[in-house]
This record gives sequence, C-alpha cells and structure tokens, in this order.
Amino acid sequence: MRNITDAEVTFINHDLTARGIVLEELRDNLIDHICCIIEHESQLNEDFFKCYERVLPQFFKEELEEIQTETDNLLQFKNFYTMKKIMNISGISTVFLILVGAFLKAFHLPGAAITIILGGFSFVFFFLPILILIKLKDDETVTDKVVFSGGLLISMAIVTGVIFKIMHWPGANYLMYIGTIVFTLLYVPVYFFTRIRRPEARFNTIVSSVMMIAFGGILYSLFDLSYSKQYESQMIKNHYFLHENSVRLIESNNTIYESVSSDDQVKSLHKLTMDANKKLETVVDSIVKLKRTNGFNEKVYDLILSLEEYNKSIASMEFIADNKIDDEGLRILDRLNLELSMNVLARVQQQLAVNENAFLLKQLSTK
Amino acid sequence: MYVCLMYSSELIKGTLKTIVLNLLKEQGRMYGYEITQRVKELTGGKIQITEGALYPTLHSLEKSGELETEKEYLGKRVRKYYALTEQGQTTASQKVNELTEFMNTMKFLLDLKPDLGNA
Repeated sequence: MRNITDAEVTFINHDLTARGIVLEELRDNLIDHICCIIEHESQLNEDFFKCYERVLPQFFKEELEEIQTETDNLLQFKNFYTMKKIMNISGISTVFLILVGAFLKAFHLPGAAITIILGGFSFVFFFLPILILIKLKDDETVTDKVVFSGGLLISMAIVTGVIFKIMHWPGANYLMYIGTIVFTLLYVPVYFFTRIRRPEARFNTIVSSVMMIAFGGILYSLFDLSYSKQYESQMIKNHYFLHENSVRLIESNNTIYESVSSDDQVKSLHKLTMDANKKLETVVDSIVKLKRTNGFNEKVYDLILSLEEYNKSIASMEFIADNKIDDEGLRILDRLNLELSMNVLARVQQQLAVNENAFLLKQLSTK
Repeated sequence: MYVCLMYSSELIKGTLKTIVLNLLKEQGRMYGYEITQRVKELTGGKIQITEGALYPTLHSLEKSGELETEKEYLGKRVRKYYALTEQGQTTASQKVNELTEFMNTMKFLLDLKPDLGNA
C-alpha cells in the first residue's frame, strides 16, 4: 500500500480550495477520503497526479463545488426548520400572552403589564425578525423581499412604541408617530406601486393598500385621543383659578398673623405651611421649565415628606385636625400630563392656604 | 448524488441518514471512507454511497446533534471519526423502526409474498 506524503496532502488541499470547497471541515474529510482511495485502490507505481485526476471525478457530476453547495443546503435547511419552529412557538406565546394581558388589564388584575410586555417583546424580537429572515429566503423577487421586510421593520417600531406607551416609558410617542407616519405615507405607496402593475396581484394590492391606509389613519388618530382643546383650556383655567385664590388667601393669612398671638402652634403651622409651599414651588418651577412631569422625583419626594410632617403636626391642632392633605396625586405625578399635574399642585397649595386660614380665623375668634 | 448498482436513486433517497446512523450504532466510530466501504461490503456492492451524498449528510447530522466527531492527525491529514451522540442513538432506533414499518406497509400494499424473498 502506498503512503500519501505531506506535500501531496498540501497539493490536494490547495486544489480542493481552488475548486470551491471553502468549508474547512468538509475539505479535511475530502482530503482524507481521496488519500484513502489512492492508498487502497491504486498501484504503487502509478503517478500520484494521474491517480488524483482519475479519482476526483467520482466525487461529483459536473464540478466539485456541488458537494459544498449540497452541504450548505442541508445545513441551511436544518436552520430553516429550527427558525420556523421558533417562529411558531413565539407566535403562539405572543397570542397567548397578549390575550391574557388584555384580560388582566380589562379587569384591573395584577400582572397585566408584565404579561403584555412579554407578549409584545416576543412578537417584536422573535416572531417578526424570524419572519423577515424566512421571507428573505423565499423565492420572491428582491423588490418584494425588501418591501415586505421594510413593512415588518416599521411594524416592529410601532409595536415597540405601543408597549412603551402602555408602560409610560419615554420615547413611546416618537416611535408610534414616526412609525405610523412612515407606514402610511411611505410604505403603503411603495407597496402599492411595486405591485399594482402585476395583473394577478392587482385586486389584492388595492384591497390591502386601502386596509393599510385605513389602519394607519385610525391608529394615528387613536394616538392623539388624549383630550380635546376645550378640555385642555378648562384645565388650564382651573389651575390658574386655584392658584390665584391660593395667592389671595396666603396674602390674607399673612395679614391675620399680625393680629393673632404668636403662640407655638401658630408659629409651627406658619413654618410648616411656608416649608411645604416652598417645596411645592420648586416642583412647579421644574414642570414649567422642563415642560414634563417626570425626571425630578427627588423634588416631588421632598414635597411629600414635607406634607407628611405637616399632616402629623396638624393632627393636634384644633379645627383643622381632620383636614390632612391628600398626597395621592403627587405620588403619581410623573404619570400625569402637564395640565393635570399643575391642577394637583394648585389644589395642594390651596388646601394649605385654606387650612392656615381656618386655623387663624379660629385663633382670631377666640382672642 | 447517489450511486447504486442495483437500485434506483429514488429508492435509496431518504434512507441515507438511516443507513449511516444504523451503521454507526453497530460499529461505534467510523470515518467517511470506512462508511462507504462498509456499506459496499455489507450489500455486496449493491449499494454504493457516493462522497457527494455522504459528507453533506454527515455534516447535517453533526450540526443537528445526532453525531459527534473526534479528529486524528496523520501528518498533515485530518481524519474525522464520527460516532452517535445520545440523541443520535435514539434517532437511529426511530429511523430504523420507521423504515421497517414503511417496508412492511409497502409489502402489504404491493401484495408481495414474504416467502418469495424478492421484496
């Protein structure tokens, strides 16, 4: 039996690479196989190169690269089925989680948010990306692949925006608005004009385009369904009204302070009210300056602490002991819109002034 | 991609995985050339697996976790020995059972008499 030398192995290696066998593991297999055939099935005196030329054609029909292509196809085919499996599982999970989440949300049961988020993320990060990959493997035209994948990417942005909106996370509006505008004004026309010329797809294209425009339009108007301009103007009016009343009352209280005896309770209430008002103004300044209600939780927390101390102290004060200030609105201030948050703050400010006024008038009457 | 002296490629197609898995179950570990030679020997040359069909199948089975490999270096040559994984053992049994059942069904369907021995 002849032995193949290292130099001959190197030659086979280079030749197989040149013939398109790029997968190293496959090349190693073929080198060993060719060497085995030459060693076992050739004469000792036969020229190596002639022998190699004789053996090689039994590995293919037309060219050696076929074996590389066949391997690639089999490996990709396997991935294709794994991907389809993951897509099916993520699809079922998405439907299940979204339905359960919607049910929990509708009945105000715990776990709604996390269930909807998991459903949304399964849809956006598993189902849609795999769908894009599978679509890219299809035998459709390049234009169809690009248009379809683009549509799915835009859907991913819109769904992510909706999840952010449900969770009150920042950036939700940008994702939803930009996603919907691009979808309706850019994607649908591109979809329409790339398909309308095909007679077999004409009817479906028209129906799908109309449905997508209607869906995009309805979605866009839903995003803007916060409240009407009239409602907003009334909220602003109410806020100013509350604030002006508070200012007038505080001024009036300051006058009364001069007429009542400055005992410990009076001094204490004055100090507590001043402190709470000061912290309240800091929060108002932040909202006015930043034009948003989140991002300054420490200032709101300072105000809540100050009001807790206030509530504790007035519990022993005659006439206003039961008029504790409700801080529930302040605790969710970062989730309220600008107008409502200003109303909550103005209401707290007015209650502080009313309590102070009631207490001072009582002091005045007993003087 | 299949070469067989007696049977058409349509008959062999779809059974290569079963042949390879079952052979490895019987023999333990084998390398590519050894597999082709063993199949040729066992079938008296009636079935000859081509390299163009064998290696893509071996790579696919390795990727899906049915086979594991061990490399041996013979100078500059690398010899890959294939062996069944635990998952491969199960798959081999399943594939053999499936094929046996299929052959029985075919016998029944074609109404052949088993004692003629021509099935």
